[in-house]
Amino acid sequence: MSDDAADVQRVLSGDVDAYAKLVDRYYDRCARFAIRMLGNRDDAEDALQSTFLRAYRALGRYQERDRFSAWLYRILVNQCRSIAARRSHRERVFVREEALLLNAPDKTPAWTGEDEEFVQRVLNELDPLLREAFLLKYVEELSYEEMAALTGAGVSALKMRVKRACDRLRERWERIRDD
Amino acid sequence: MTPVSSRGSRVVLRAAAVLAAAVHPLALVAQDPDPLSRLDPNTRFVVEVIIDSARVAGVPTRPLLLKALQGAAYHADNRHIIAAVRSVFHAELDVRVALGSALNESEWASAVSALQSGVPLEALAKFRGERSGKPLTRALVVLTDLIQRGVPIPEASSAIMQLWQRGAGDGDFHGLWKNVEQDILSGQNPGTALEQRMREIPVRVTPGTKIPPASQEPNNSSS
Amino acid sequence: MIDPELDPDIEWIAREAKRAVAVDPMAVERVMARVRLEPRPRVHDLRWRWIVEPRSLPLSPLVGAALAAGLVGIGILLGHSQIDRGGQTTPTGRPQAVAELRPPLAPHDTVIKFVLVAPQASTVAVVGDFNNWDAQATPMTRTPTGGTWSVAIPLHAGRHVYAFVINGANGTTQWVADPTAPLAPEDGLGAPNSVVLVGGSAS
Repeated sequence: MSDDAADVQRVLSGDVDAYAKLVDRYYDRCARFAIRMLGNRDDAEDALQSTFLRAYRALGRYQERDRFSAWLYRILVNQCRSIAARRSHRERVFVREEALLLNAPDKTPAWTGEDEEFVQRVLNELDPLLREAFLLKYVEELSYEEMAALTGAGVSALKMRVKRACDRLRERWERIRDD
Repeated sequence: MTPVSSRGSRVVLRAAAVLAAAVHPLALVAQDPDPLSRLDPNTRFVVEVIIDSARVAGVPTRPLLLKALQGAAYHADNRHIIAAVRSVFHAELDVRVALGSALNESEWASAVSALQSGVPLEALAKFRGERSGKPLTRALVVLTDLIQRGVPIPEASSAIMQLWQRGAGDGDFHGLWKNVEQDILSGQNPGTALEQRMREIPVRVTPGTKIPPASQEPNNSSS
Repeated sequence: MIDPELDPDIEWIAREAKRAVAVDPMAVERVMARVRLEPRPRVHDLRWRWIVEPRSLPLSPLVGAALAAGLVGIGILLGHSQIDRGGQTTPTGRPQAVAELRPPLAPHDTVIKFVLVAPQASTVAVVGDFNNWDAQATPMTRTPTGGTWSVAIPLHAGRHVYAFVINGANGTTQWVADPTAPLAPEDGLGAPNSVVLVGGSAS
């Protein structure tokens, strides 16, 4: 039995603190995906909290034959999509509320260094589905089959998205570099 | 005792509350005269401005109040309460774009929920148009639930739209939901579960067939 | 392993994107703080689905008329149901008056019975849009046999969102959705909620 499956068993037998081990094991990696995907820390933190909470609630449905990371990532990807969808509503600001934005907490940007900022900026400009496919393939390093199981999209659709993502990134890169 | 953390997370600690004597439960119809007093003053101010904006814009205000009260009851972070209220408001504006404003209270709410669960605006807009006799609320509630349970959004939207166009009634949507829910709880992959159950639904109405008024689905078809 | 077919610029982007991000050291603690408020997850077994869905009970015409005549405080006659571990409901015989005061019902209200099995709870309440999410407004009553809590509420036709708030003997509070009802969407608050559709203009 893998470490993950053993910890899941412990949690299901009543040892809540065993869940902390699972969270610890995956938090950083999930955080990287969430931040790259959503482009800012506040949204990423919301996605992560949500993901680990839902995963906890759904632990009874986890089956040992699935890889825990794949199972967890399906939840993470959906949470990121959900937050991105809500965010596109948020960004449409209604005039009377603008004064209130002065009191709203600043969105903490994700980047800490110049290169990281550049990369995040370029990624942000990608259409969300393309960005998601690019990250899953080249950052998470999943196979297309794993990506298909995770996102529910077909393998050829995913290959197309990754290709388009690379094309767009190349265009953006050239344009930004020439600025 | 679980420590209260400083940033953002909801931690609820309450000593076992001494409830008002359960012999005389509070009347449900009687409303608290000032429900928003449960919010902290700054949060309340922001929420009231958003509600006012909604009133000016001509979209329902009650759902915004309810969202704020729900947040207060859940002891959510003020930042999240405000974001959630704002999100409902903006979703209502989008619902109006997609479906118009000739909706009853439940249809507004279920349409907002569908958008919040990630259904794209274009997909929601397909429910516009001739709706007489069709269970819009039920269809959207089922769609929202399936997405929450892990069915990918495009698959869920397309399946519900198929049923909708075929003239499926309240009972059909509820039956589908019940079956898929059971399958998912038994460990099936959500997308696969939906696909399989969709195949079981007999095509009673072919696309393009006009449904004569006499054959409308009964109202209370709970299973 | 980077795809050898990637051009070097894209490869660079991927490599940068793969760098670890700075993570707040308290983040895991925060997740665990929320997790500890949840009910324990259990392996899903359909035999355990005895946390029952709301039941819709139509008003008998006599009661409807009496209430419409504005007679407040009359006990509502309901078929009282017993729920066993298999999730089956069986009527216990003659309808029993539920001795609770209720305001006059609108003619189109349906009485919905909410039931939750929570043997460890000291108090349970329903919260929802029908009571302004007020955890004091609709306490549930424990059945004499001990583990089951219930309350019957008149609801107008349409969609309602709700959840159960459970207070344990150790002072903790849990907010749980109804496991057998459709889920309300994730809305940024993080609260799990359920949806009930009451017949009539639910379409």
